[in-house]
Amino acid sequence: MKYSIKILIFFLSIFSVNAQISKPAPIEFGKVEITDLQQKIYAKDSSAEAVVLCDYAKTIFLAEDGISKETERIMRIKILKKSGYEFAKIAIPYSSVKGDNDKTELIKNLEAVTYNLVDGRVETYSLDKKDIFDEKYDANTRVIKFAFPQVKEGSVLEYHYRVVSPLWYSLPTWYFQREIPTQWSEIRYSIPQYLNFKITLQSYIPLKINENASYKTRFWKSTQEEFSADYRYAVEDAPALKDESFVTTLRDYTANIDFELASFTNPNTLQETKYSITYADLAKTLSEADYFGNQIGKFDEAKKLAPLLETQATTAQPDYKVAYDYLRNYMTWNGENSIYVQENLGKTYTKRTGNSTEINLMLVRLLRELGYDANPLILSTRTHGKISEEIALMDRFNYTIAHIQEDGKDILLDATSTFIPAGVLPVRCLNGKGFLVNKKNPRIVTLPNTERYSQTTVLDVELDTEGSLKGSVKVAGSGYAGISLREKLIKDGKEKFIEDFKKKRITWKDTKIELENFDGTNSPTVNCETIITEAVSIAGDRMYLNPMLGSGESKNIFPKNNRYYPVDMTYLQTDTFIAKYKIPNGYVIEELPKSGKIAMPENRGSFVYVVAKNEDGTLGISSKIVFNKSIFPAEDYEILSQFFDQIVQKHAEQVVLKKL
Amino acid sequence: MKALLTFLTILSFQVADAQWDAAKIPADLKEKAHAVMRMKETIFNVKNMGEATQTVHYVVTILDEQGQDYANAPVFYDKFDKINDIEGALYDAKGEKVKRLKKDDIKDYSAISGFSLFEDHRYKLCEFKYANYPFTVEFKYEITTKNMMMYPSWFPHSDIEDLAIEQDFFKVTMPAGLDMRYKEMNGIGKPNITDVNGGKSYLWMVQNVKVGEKEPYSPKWAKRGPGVLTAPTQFEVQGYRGDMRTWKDLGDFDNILGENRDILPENVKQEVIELTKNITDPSLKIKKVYEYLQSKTRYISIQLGIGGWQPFEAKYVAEKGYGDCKALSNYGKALLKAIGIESHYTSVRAGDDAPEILADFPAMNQFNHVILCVPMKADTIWLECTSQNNPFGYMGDFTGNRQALLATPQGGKLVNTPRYMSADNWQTKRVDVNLAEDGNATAEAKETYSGILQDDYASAMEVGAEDQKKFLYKHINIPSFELNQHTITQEKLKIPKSRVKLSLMVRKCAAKSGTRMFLSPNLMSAVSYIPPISEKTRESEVELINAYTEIDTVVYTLPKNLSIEAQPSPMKIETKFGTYQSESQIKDGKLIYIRKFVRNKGKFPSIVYPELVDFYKKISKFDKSQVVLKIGV
Repeated sequence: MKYSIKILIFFLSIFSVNAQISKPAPIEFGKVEITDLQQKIYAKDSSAEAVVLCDYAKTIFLAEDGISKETERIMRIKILKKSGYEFAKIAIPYSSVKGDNDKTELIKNLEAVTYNLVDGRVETYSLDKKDIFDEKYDANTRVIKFAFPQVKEGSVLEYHYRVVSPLWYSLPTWYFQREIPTQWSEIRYSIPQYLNFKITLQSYIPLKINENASYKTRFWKSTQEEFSADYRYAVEDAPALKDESFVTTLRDYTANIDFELASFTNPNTLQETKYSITYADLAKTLSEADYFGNQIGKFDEAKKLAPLLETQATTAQPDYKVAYDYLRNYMTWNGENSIYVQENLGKTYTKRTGNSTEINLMLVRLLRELGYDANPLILSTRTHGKISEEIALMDRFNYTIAHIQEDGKDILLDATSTFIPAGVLPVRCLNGKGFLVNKKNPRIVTLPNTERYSQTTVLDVELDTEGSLKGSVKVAGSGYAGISLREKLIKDGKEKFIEDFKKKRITWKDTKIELENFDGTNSPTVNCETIITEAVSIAGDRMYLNPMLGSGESKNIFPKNNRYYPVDMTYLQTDTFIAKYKIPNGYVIEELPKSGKIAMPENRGSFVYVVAKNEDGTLGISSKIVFNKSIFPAEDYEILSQFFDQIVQKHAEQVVLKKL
Repeated sequence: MKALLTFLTILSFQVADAQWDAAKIPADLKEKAHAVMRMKETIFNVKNMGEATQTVHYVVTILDEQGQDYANAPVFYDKFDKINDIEGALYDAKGEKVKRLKKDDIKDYSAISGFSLFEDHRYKLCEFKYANYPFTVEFKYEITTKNMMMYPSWFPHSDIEDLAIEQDFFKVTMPAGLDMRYKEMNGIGKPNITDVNGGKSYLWMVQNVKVGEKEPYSPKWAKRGPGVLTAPTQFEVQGYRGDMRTWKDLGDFDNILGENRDILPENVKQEVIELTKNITDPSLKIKKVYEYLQSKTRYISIQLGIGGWQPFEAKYVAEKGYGDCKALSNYGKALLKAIGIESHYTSVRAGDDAPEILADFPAMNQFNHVILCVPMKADTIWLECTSQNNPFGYMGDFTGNRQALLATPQGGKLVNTPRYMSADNWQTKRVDVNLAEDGNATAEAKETYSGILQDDYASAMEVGAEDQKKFLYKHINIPSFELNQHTITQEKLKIPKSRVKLSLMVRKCAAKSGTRMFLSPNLMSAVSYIPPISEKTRESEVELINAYTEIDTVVYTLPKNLSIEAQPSPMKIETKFGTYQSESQIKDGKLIYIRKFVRNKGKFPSIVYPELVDFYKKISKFDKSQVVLKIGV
């Protein structure tokens, strides 16, 4: 099966009026089908360890002393293999804050039953209340945990419960898909007119059911006409989620439906409170929020700093870079991703540590003090998943950077990283698009992904008759490769850096290493003088030399496989290898690998391999691998695989030298 | 006595804040360190057999971002423990106090381990959010514990690569009439012992310890650095009394905890009797019972209070169909008892990287797993009761090759679990390769893995076809290939064997370059890992944990019109770490490559480490050696 990912977004719109969805639930607790018990494998995926036969939930809202919600959940799972026993352990997290009833949910009427087919008879085992555990996970969360009794290969497991929740303003994300296949997954909601949720659906599996309807009802008061709306979504036969290499986060590929409260109308006063609806609203909400925009004004230290920084500015190093450098060196990122400021920004500054939002809102303020029209830009990191351009959902964002414009060009600055030059984003931020939080002119901004990961290795060596190479090797990195070299040096210190470099090159002897340009802005370079032993094999009067000297690609990183998701290689890449070999006296070149060039369609990638005998008798070789795209659709996987095969093949070819 | 005097002065420190000025750290301690322990004291104050308080107080300076973990203090506790007090303070570079630890800086989390359904383990995380380097934090907390089976161990320098130490003290005080036991590890030195109120107090310390380097192939205990293990003599926990001075005592205590817990429901008892009544061979009877246990139960870990050491009753396992290692082993014991076969509940330290049992230091916390031992006239049978797939009687490198404690009716007995030796652990690969003119090839491989080398393949057998494929793609050591067909089967013997058959398409098996083809005949077993070598003098011994043998035979059918231009001469290396042989021959137009690698086990003096590196270097080189084929004669 081959399919590629599509993200569909469904806007809320009501198809019909006066038609409550009254179809029976797809599952009834306790009514297990004998055919499900007899089933030995899941036909659509014979490798499945277990399969969710049905996952069903319905959420309704209630009006008693305010608004609350109640969810009924029924889940039925078939265990197919022993390795699927893991899915007979259940964890139900729920919100619970000690002493705060407004944040504490209740799990009620939990029942669980194991069904086994033994010699044609159905045996059932109910979960004993004593075997239910209630774990206090942290200050805001508890988890109900239990294990089904008497689980065998072939067991059908079923549980249901009700969640009574005061958290009327939020609905959890519903996942249609998980690491085992799901035959049927259905979610229903009945939502009163006072609550306006925005719903996004992300799925490459078509919805089997997508229905909604509104109808007259009585919810809050009897004196006026009230409406509610029913929604019903279902997915059939969702395949198991598989983890693969070159992906951002599986969440980006999981079929799910997500909700965010857009507005709430107070049923008594009929006054509407808007939350984020459009991106413009989101910009306004954030700009005025105490946890975000208002904090920019709290960083008053900026007033003192700005004039000092201004004096350090030069034409080569404009003041925004000076400010950026100052802040990235002064503050240490605490590793947390959040779009909320935890504490007063002024205070955060004295602690010298904060999350990305705290640090970069400081930068925004500093840049404003320097006269820039600086604004925060929010985004979602790679492990947090993609944002939607169409729908403004606050919880899709988890990170803030700073934005200014120079000569009409967007300049993006993230002061969380000590190693990155102004205008380049750390790898975690390379996730498509971000949103500029600017009250006047909010907009979606494409996060530039033009900085390459470029590595260059240059050898100038002389081969002796014993098969050793003596000479110089330079390894340089620019773009992200340069950043990672600098990062490693700062983290490890010079001694360990050099030692690790040597450890990776075990056939090198008497290596002397100098580090060049690690402080400057150019490409940091490791310069080596060395003797490379065992570089060639000698047989009789011939020497065989692989001129890539172990720097070549020896394994296909895109093995032949079914690929379901796009290949996300993070950044554009260039890998260059250039070598000059002086051949020992008395030897001649008998045979050389053929030069060659291949390119992927539309110049998405290319590989150039050149071997030549130079006029001075030396042997020259160069290999250059270029990827001009960072993301390839799943359909391109085969091309990538073939492309890489060619590289592996070329890099294995050898030079033959013969004694005269 | 000098050390003790220093200690007393430190204890009474209420000196000016500036005491923790980061500039006062000796320069040589700061070198390469990310944090420096200025002073630490851990005091374990035993009140009586059933209660103790542990006080931990330390001051640590964080030098840079990589030492940031030391700005947090996790304080672990469970149902037996009560945290009496936590205090903390933050100091800036000059040692001036910035703030005190407040309630808001302490968060409480569950500490249930990943493999467990439920436990009562929790921790309080005390955290200063601060990064103005260097800075100093101070933490002090006191815990009262009523789990007196466990005395603390102290390994002040286990984080050898990050932390330097100015001073670190460890003190245990015992009341009159109650003794403790201890074992010094890795050269920590003797304690200062003093009399206190009729009891005794033991004090160890380290001073001025610089950061060091982790050494590969070190023995497990050596990795922790100098330290002390302590253990009770007599103890009490949740109303149970025990003694730990000898292994016999410890086994007795297991028996006390397990008393009357092996009673089966009558129907289960009848079922196993019925199941085995026609079998006469006792070992076959045991096998039948083991298979019954595997089919009826699964592993679910629940650890609450004394339940961390006491098995659930056999009745409970029969009812639920699950239990943890203790419950399932106890259940297995009960099942065997029902058919008149005696077996012993056996404590073991599980895992392929578990440090060896210290036979001269009986202590409960040397173990973390339970298995079942069935003594037989000839060969003792060992049962891993938590696995539904494990071959009967096989321990693997999870619990094999080590000592374990039997709880026999006569008390505890430390014995060896099965040894898996060079003759047991082996793999053979026979590969038939058909090399085409373009350098591509098809290959049929038949592989057999035996003993501990089969463990990974046995687990791969349990997963779906798609995941098996992924597993094989990861394990097949060929640069570029496609897996067309595969099967994995297992023979569940006492030394189990996994057999793997593969049909492969090998891309560019030989590199064609002009008029030549270059072929590395070692198709599937080339060693590329070489132990890293450091420029510093090695300190710890070199330990090779397992012995095994690998034999490869690769037969190439070559395309026509090829002649051999060069081929590697036969290679042989013999060292104390093992032997290596490889050669290629031409026979009937076929190229036959044979490789044999024997790895020994054992401990070797530190000085031989470069020889080990050299051995692997040579293997790696020989494994890469190539045959040169000339096209068109």
